[in-house]
Amino acid sequence: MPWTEKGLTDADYLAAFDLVIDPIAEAFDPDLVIIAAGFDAAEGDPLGGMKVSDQGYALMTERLLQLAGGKCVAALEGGYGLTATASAAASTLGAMLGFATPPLSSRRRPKRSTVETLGKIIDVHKEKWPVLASDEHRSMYRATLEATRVAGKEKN
Amino acid sequence: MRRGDSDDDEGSAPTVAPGTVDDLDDLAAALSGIELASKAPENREGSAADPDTILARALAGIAEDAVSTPPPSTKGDMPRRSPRLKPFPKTPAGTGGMGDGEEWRKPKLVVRYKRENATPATSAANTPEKETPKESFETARESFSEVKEEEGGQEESSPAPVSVATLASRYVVVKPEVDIVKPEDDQIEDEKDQPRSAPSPAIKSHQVHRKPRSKVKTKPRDPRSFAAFREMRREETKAETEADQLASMLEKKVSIAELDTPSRRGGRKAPARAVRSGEDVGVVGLCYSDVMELHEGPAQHFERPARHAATVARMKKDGLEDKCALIAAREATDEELLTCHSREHLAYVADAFDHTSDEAVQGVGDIYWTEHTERCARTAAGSACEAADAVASGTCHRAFAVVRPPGHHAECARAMGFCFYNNTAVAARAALAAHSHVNRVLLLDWDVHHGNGCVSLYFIFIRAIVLTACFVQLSQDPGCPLRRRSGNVRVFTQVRRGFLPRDWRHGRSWNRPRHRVQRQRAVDGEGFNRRRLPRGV
Repeated sequence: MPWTEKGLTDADYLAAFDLVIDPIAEAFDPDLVIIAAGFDAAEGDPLGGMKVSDQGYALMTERLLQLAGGKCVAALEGGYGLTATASAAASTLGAMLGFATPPLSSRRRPKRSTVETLGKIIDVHKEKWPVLASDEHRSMYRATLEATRVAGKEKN
Repeated sequence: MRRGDSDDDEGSAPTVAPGTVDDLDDLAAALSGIELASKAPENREGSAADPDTILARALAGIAEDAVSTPPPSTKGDMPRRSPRLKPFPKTPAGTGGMGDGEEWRKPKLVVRYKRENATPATSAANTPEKETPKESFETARESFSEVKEEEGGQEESSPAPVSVATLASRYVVVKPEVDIVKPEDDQIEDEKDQPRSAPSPAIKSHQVHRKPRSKVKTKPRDPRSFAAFREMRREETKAETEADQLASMLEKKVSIAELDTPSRRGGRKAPARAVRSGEDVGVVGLCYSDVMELHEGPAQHFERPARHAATVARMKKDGLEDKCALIAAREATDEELLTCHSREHLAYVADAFDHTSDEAVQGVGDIYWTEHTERCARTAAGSACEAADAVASGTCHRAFAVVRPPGHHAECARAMGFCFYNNTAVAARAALAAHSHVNRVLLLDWDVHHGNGCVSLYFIFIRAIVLTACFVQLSQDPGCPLRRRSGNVRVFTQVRRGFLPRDWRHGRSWNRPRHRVQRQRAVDGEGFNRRRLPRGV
């Protein structure tokens, strides 16, 4: 995901999962999932500049545990804020251990730029992954875009 | 609830839909007709015939008892009022009455009133009793003012007014008339005064489309009440959010032990400890080793041993480590590493540290070398391989490997970005090679930085797919595969310095016109920031 701006949150990452990663991954149907788990997108990281919380990491892990019958390996990569990395890694491991994570509140919506970026990605990958060209997926994308629009209005 | 009450009692129906106005008109007309007929049909007929007698009766009635039922005939005797129009509804004492002229000018409001009044009017007996003295005052005043006008000198008009004048002159003498008129005048004064301070319903009636201000609406607008409102709203949103969470958790059939989100913001909370019901997690492996803390660079370097130590300490503190099956770390073998890296690269990593030098930490830029570097890098790759192997073979269901140095920037023959061996890529290929039932591996990189190593290593590898979540900083990560259509190729060439296009050092080589502008600016020495150049160019 070539993010175009910093300060993205759980909602943006989960939107990427919703719109791009999950459909492709399900279509790919892997036997094993390996996560290069860099936690430098966590809130408080000196290099990343993103704002993903522990909850977001746990939710992303849960999404990936749905694949390949739960066969999942995570290996620590980046993550340069000690506390941020530690707690994010702990929440990821917690998700692997089956601890439930409360889902994101419906008030937290992805940024519009994020969804537009995801739209470009979908356009590029549509040819190779027919899942992304399906009507269902298109309507989901539209719904997500609508959701961001509403969020923007609220902000203003 | 309160609103409904006010609708019924005070006659403050909020709006009348535009389409229904005519219907209401008709209904009101019909109802008023019924009302009048039930009261005094003979009077109505008489009014058309002989206004004098009617007025006389009216005045006499007022003089005799103002408080009792008003003479219904007065409705008929005012020539400029349609029979449909009735005086303004009874208003609470002190709020003032409805002037006739206003009522005339704004028939819509009358319609609304009619509708309100129509409901009690269905029980015909109530209507006359309900009418207050004020109403009778109004009607009397009107007739009386007409009389006064006649007295003023319009004697040459029709014969009927003349006789009215005579009647009125008699009437003026009558005592009670003074008592009746006076409160009326007071009320008029009141009406004049009131709009300044608090508009009475009568004045309010000019604004037909506006809802009469009810008690509920007229809250004092002081900042304290706003603060209270904000506080209330905050509580509401909080409650809604919680309800949201609860609903979706119930939907997922999650047993709820704790609703608090594990966030680093408010205190360091442990993750929620509710185990999902109906799911067998199986054995979860955890792999870590102190060996990986030996690779220690400059004090201020971001990639430091404390990352590993802090992560493991946190897992122990949260009690997660106890729940996991420990996987022994090991060093990666040459075979495993050679699936991803070239033999030259292995030799380079092994020999990069100059043992003859006095410096304990060598190297420039993001990569540094110590005497333990190779061992640590191998342990990291080996641990990842071990974890993947454990999961692929079924020993563990899931596994987490706390490893450092990281690996997703490491390419086939290049160590960069704190990375030496590409741990995850090596693990994936080792799992693919060792286990026949593993045919497809999904390698997802959710690091902010572009995992160029993973992408380049899997670019031509069909059995595995790489999804990267990365943040592109043009100065550091010149190409991200998904950024442009030809992105993958670009990544593959850009990261190998030997293949760089000549003008890449100027930044965005793919945007030629812009690049030309930039180069021209560089020549001119304006607006060119040398710090944007990639390192080493």
